[in-house]
Amino acid sequence: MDSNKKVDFGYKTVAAEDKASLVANVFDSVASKYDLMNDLMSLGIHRLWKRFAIELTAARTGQKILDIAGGTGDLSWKFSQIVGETGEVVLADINGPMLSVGRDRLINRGGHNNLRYVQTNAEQLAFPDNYFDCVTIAFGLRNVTDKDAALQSMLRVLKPGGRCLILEFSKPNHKLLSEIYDQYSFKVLPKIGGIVTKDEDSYRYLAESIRMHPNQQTLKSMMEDAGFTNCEYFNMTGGIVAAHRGIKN
Amino acid sequence: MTEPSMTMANMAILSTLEKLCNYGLSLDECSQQKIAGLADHVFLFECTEPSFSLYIQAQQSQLQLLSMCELPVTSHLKGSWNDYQKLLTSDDAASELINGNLELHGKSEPLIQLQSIIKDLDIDWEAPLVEVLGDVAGHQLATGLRQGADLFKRFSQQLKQSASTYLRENSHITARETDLNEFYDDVDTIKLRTDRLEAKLTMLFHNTDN
Repeated sequence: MDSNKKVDFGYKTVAAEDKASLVANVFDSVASKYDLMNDLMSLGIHRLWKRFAIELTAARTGQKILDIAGGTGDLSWKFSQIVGETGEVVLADINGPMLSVGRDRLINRGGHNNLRYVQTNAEQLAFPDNYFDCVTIAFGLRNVTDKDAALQSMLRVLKPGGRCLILEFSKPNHKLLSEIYDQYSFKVLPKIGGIVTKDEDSYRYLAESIRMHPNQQTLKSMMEDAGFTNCEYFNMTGGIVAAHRGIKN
Repeated sequence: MTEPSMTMANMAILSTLEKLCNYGLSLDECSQQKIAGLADHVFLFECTEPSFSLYIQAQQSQLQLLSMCELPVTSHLKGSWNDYQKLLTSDDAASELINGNLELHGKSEPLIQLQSIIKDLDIDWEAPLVEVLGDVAGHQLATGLRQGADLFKRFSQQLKQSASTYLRENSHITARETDLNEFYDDVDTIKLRTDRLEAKLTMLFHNTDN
């Protein structure tokens, strides 16, 4: 990576090679209370967003699925039930503590012996070419330093005909909703974060990183540039979150 | 840009229903095993009144309720809410599918199996009650509930039987099934004879014209 290259870290601009460690610090600090915070911040709606994303993947028994930035394993758990004993689900995350929380949680829940846990960088996925039927990344892409590299890496590990599903915060499509959302993100959310995880800054970064993330149309174009076809996106909750889907030819 | 086919509120309802269904199934091991036999079948229920569509996919020992599904559909049913209610409570699902107002596309057998699993769901409430109330109180309450349910089932069966006997034998309002079948056979025979007669007459008129 070019050592002079600058990237955004929330509203700040940092050296590209520093972003991964800065993001890691954020998630190290919130890992243990990540699920609780997600529920508090979204009033539980994140479960519905994830549910809809799973529907969009059309996952089925026997498939191999990669859940990048899988964190505490919400999607992986559901996928492991869908693909069954004959399938395989890989929960991948760059962040050790997050992966550790996810792995412990999934092991405690029992279930199928089809889950694997891999600590890997989304930009250089440590898997063979054309291996997975489906690759998902939920609320993780905005934290990736080089999004284009990550998209290309995801394309590489997908089998031809495989689906890529990106679930991410996006841009609300109503002005009033956008204003309410801004007030909530910058005033309420860091306070809740401060109370629950004693880390207001991490949640300020979360709000900032959402604003710096490409909007629906830009991300769709980025997916097309990376080589995905039939790209489309689905807005949820007025565009606060969008699910992007693309297929590998 | 594409909008989701369902709102988040609908998604929440679906999610809650799915949890309830699977919780119910988890309390009846026998039904869970039967559901496993339907693995990978996708059912599409299209309700015309009120208007909504629901996909149900069987997976291992659970059901997944979906707002959209791109997998091939095994059985597609279309009809009103009342028609679905009739099917769900029917003792003979096959007959209801043939004679009822529901429109079926695809396979009927997995659908009949699903109906029978839902209808015969025998939930054992003892485990969750014991978990909440403790061993003794939970067991007592579960036994009471089980006895109450058995009593109600027997009573409703007896009531149904007695009412049917009364209507048939005493008040002569309804006919016996055998009598009805004989009547239908007679109607069929008359229809066949009428058709034959009509054909003969047509032939006769045709010959006379020539």
